[in-house]
Amino acid sequence: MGSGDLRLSLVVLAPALGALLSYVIGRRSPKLSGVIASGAVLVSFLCSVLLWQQVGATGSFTATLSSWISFGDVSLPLQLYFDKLSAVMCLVVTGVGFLIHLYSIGYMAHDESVARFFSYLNLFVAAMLVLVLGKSLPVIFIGWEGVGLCSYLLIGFWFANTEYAKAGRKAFVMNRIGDVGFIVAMAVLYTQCGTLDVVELGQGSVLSKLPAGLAFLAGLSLFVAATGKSAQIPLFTWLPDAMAGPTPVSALIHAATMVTAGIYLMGRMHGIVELDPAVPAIIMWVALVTSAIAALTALAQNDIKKVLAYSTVSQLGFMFLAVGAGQYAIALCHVVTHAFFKACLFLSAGSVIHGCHHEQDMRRMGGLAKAMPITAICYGVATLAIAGICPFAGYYSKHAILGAISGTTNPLLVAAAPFIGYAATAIAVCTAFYMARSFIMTFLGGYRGEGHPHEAPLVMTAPVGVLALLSVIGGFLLVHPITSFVTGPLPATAGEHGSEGFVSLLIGSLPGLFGIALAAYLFLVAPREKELLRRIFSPVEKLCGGKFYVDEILQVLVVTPCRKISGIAFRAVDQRIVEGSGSALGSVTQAVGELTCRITTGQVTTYVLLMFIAAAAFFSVFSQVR
Amino acid sequence: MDIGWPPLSFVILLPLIGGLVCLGPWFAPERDAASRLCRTWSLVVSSLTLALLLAVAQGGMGAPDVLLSVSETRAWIPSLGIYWNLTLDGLSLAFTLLTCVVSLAVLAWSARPAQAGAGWYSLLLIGQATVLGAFLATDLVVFYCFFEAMLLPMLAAMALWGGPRRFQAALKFLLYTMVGSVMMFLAILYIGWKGLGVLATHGAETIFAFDVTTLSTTKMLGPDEQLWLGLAFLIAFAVKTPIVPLHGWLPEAYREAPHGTAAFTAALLGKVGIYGIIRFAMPLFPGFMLEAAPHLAALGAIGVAYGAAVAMAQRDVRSLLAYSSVSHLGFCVLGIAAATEMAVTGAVFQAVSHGLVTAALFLVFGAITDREGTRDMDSLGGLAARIPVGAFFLMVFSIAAVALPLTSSFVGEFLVIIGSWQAFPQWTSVALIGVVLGAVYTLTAYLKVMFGPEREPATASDADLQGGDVLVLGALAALVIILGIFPQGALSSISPAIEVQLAQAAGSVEDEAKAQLRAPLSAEVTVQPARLESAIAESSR
Repeated sequence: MGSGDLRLSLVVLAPALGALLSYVIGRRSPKLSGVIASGAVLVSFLCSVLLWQQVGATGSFTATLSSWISFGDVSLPLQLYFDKLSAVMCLVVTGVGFLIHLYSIGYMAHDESVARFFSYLNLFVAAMLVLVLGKSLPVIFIGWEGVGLCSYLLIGFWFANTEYAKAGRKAFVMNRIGDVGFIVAMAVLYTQCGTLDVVELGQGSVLSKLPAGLAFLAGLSLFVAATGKSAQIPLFTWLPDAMAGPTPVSALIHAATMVTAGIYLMGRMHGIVELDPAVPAIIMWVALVTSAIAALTALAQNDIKKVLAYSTVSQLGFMFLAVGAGQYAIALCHVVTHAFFKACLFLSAGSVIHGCHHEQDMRRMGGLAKAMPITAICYGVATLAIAGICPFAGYYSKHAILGAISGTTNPLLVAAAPFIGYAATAIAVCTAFYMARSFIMTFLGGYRGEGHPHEAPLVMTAPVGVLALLSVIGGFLLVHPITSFVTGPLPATAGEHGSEGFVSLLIGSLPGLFGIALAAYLFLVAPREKELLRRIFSPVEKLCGGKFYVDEILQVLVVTPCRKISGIAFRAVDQRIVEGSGSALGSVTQAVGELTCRITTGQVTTYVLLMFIAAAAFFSVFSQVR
Repeated sequence: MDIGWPPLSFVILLPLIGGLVCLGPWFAPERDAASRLCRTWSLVVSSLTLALLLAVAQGGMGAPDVLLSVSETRAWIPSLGIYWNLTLDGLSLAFTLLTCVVSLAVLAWSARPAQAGAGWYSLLLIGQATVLGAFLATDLVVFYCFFEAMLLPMLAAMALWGGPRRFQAALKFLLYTMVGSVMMFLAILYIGWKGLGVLATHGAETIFAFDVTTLSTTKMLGPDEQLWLGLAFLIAFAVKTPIVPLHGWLPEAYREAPHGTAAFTAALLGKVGIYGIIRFAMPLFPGFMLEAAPHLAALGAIGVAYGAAVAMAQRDVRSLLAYSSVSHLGFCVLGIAAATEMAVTGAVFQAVSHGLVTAALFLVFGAITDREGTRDMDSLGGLAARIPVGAFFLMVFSIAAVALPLTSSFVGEFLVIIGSWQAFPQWTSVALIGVVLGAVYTLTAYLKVMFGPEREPATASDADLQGGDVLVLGALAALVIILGIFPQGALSSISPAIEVQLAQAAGSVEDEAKAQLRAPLSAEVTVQPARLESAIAESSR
């Protein structure tokens, strides 16, 4: 495996080096910045492909970069580990990442800090690769925090806008809450099992050292970490706000890669997640509620990026449904197809925003199919894919998830499985509806805005086209391997998907078709009935439009109390009691000040006196001893 | 080892003499020329001290697996059993290196108080010497002398060149620390008096009545004595560190001191408290420390959360740094209380890392607030575009303060958290609140100062950080990141020394018969008590 080491290190080091070079060189000649950054990711992608071809179903490569935190009995080396599971993630991160880098060359061409942008973007790819390649939990945590940092920097990329900068801070802090779960999990596992190596933590003999209660704690803590990064209840409200970042960032970080880190973590640590059946049950319910709330919220959004953001939260919920059902390979399958079509959607939306001169409100769009046909086709294809229509990518993974739910063997979920299945189908209808709505509002009908929309340049349309193609054939290519997709490190998947007749394929597409048909009817054929419906459902729409007030609830329950406690701790406890004299009110200040003065002079005298007494005692005592 | 000349004394004497030499030009008529000369002089002296220290450590290291231990003994007041005993082991090496690096950084920093001339360099060099002395002494009386002496240059600098409320701040600082140290002084007298008697009966030739290594092997202190004496020591160290709720002196002292003094004080003085607990309190009062551990862990964890919560309410940059220090040092206290090798090693690493990061933050924020003429974060903003270099370094050190991986702070915090979880999971969980709040106040500060629309500053000079200062910050940033990526060298130098400290503590709990006179710190000591408790359990069996 000697050559594996070097190539594996190169997978991470190429974008890390690219981050440095694209800034240093890019500051002098901004045009080179994007080329260097894209090249670095391409190198990383090619290395991943080579490794992926050689790794085999159950093989692995290991590369040691440093002995890191190693001393005495403690050994936590900085090692990378490449197996079938990390291979899939690596290919998605570098492959989709490369396309998005290319696209960004066009999108960010006129920005004055383009070098900084590509530097951050490359740094993100490097961190994400450390996340998926880490051999131990602390190494994964390096990537985990690294992507969080890059996400923070890129959301607040246009930091002159305070709201954007605040959105970045919100994302970081909410992720930080999840990180506490990660740290607790590491503490519990190291204390009980004596190791944090992911391979060793997958072994039964090591896991058997975990007592029942702590197994639950460890599993739940890992899921808490995942809720932060993958935007699940209650830590999901940062993701819609994260749309403040440039659109390629939304596509790469907040749709295709970083937000799926939680699903990857669940898959990587599935041995621990499954130890206590209560954990998958909790995951299942949280995922269902998140997915439903996000899908309903997406119905009432008018900002094109916000629709996609809520759709991402909802689709992440779908992935966690598969995780809860114990079907990690299917979850990962949806990660991959979702990366294709959601990146395609975001980049198309980026082209639209670019073409409409930074307009994001769909109410001021419409009829753009004429002005930007390529973008319209790509967006349409990806819409069909996310809706789960038959030959498109999303169909296969979504259908498999619905199957996985009904096939769950978790004793805590068996009774509820049919309900969860129906609910998930309803969410699928909803997804198709709001995506079709966004397509219709943006591309069909007449143009409602001002200005002259134009098609994006080739450097932008080409990557979008490739992603659209992948949204069409991505699922088809994966459908047979869905059982052999990542079987090596993950538990085997029940293999009844794929080989179905035409009729069942049609039935599987029904929720999506129904949703699209409904949207088409309401928005194209009978807009008046839409108005009627709106009047009937206006309270519901208000609730949806207000994101179910999750932000407001968090504000009241968490943020305000925190501020209050902080203020009380400072003003009441620290300034009054601990710091004492300083800042008491008005005349009290003077009185207290004078009083302290009197006491303090006394103390100095006492001190001097004590010194004398002590010295006298010292010498008298010692003179007797000797 | 015997080199023929006392290298450790030179490490202390070099900056001391260098500082005293600067006192002359302080009163020279040609103030500007004198202070320029003194600046060069002090940089040379400080660099030489660092080089000497590294050379001594290199020489003492010898073979790769032999424990670093350079000791030095000479008689001071032999009739009272007081000896000039200095020891450089992995523990003191970590703190002495930190001292030298931070002193050099503060001396090299271009900004200094307006009226301060040569005296600035004089006081900093003397300060460096006294702090080095405290980190090297193993004789309690010698340690006490340095422990007290290091206050004077800092108080003087604060009183001479501080803010408008400097006298009040200095007085408060003095009183707080004095209250603690009077008690410690009395405790030291008692220990020496008793040690003299006990050791005399052993019939040794030289009686190190105040040497911590010797004393810890005699196990002469009963439980009651340990309680009172240990409490006295602990309070003195708690004030210095500071451990909540004895931190009352800190915010005002940090607010009123000049930047350099604040950086020096925050980075180094508090570390003497941490160091003192590990070096002196743990081996001298093992039984007491074991009993006090849960309370200490509670204070540490509450300190982490409380410091962070109070930091969130601050508007003054200096106050923010003061309370964030309280929060970060709480981790050290928690780690020490847990008394596992991992946690204590982590605590030392965290202390060193905090020293580097805090010193850098004081300097960067100092430069920014001087430039803008205000320390109120709410009246700052939009500086990122104006001073990109300053923004970059502030980001690097903010990231380090939040303890993101691949910075030195992460290694320290991680080891403390994982190591303490084994002993006190509940208190470690409390400390984790501080992990979240730490991100909140650090990023909020960054946001207020750097982000947002550009404002026209009151003093519109568009000067970003310049040559020498960039070098200082670059070096500190490089250290923080190198220690974050390659901590293994530092860790494997610190941890054997910690092992010895823990073994001494456990040893004196465990077995009186093993008591030896002045057992040298050596590689032979290989007892590895995972916890003091386990050692006690064994001894009672």
